[in-house]
Amino acid sequence: MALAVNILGNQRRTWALAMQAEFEAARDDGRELMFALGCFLAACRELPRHEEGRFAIASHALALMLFVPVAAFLLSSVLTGFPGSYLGHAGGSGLLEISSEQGPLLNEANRSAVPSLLLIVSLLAGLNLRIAWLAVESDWARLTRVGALSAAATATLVIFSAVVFGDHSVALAQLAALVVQLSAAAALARWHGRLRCAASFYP
Amino acid sequence: MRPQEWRHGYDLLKETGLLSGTLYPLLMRMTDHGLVEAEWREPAQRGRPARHAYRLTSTGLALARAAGEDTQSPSFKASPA
Repeated sequence: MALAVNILGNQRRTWALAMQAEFEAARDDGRELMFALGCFLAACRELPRHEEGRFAIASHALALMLFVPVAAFLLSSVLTGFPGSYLGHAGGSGLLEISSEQGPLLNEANRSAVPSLLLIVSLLAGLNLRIAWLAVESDWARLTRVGALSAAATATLVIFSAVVFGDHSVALAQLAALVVQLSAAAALARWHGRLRCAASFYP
Repeated sequence: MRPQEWRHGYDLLKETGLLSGTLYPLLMRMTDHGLVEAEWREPAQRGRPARHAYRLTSTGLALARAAGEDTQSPSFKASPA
């Protein structure tokens, strides 16, 4: 019932209270579980019909389809390398070996910088997951700070890879992804701001 | 059935045999379209929250009667299962 009430939001507050009141009657009848489950399903069906629900769907979709996949890609790259790039397969497992698959720009001189690079990429993966969580929580103040940290880490990655490896294709791809992510988060934040303004007019 | 009688949600559930996941979306939709009206009623038991009661509006009643006449007319054919 608590989930159903939360999902219904401000625009269906009256119906949420009505369901809660009837839940007591269902409990007297011993049918509270089925009643609550039905209310939860009814609330889910209502989600796309009101703006708060559409916002919730959008923020979760953005988290699951943009931020989390980028984090997963970065983490898997740390473990298995960046095939097709100057790093080749110089992932976590590749650090222990010297092989011709480790990319054309890697040599003994700059190979020792790979662990630092992987550390920055791991940090970026963690920050992506944090941004996903904050977007779902609509915590825009914290998301802004984490976004700034991501931007700083990405800038470090760009400079680092350009100086040490002479190639920043991977870093620029991450920069492009970050721009897309933060733009999407900014659009969500503006939408959330409009919802909060509208909610302040509800009695 | 007494269509102008106020009924609580759970009572409607028991009378119609519908589940809450079906009944409440219907009630919301019908209320949004002015076919059903709702009001808060004081609870019968102390310490319980106020309950929502529902009944058909005059528009809803006219629609229900028209639909009832349609289903009872000889030309009405039920769709196959």
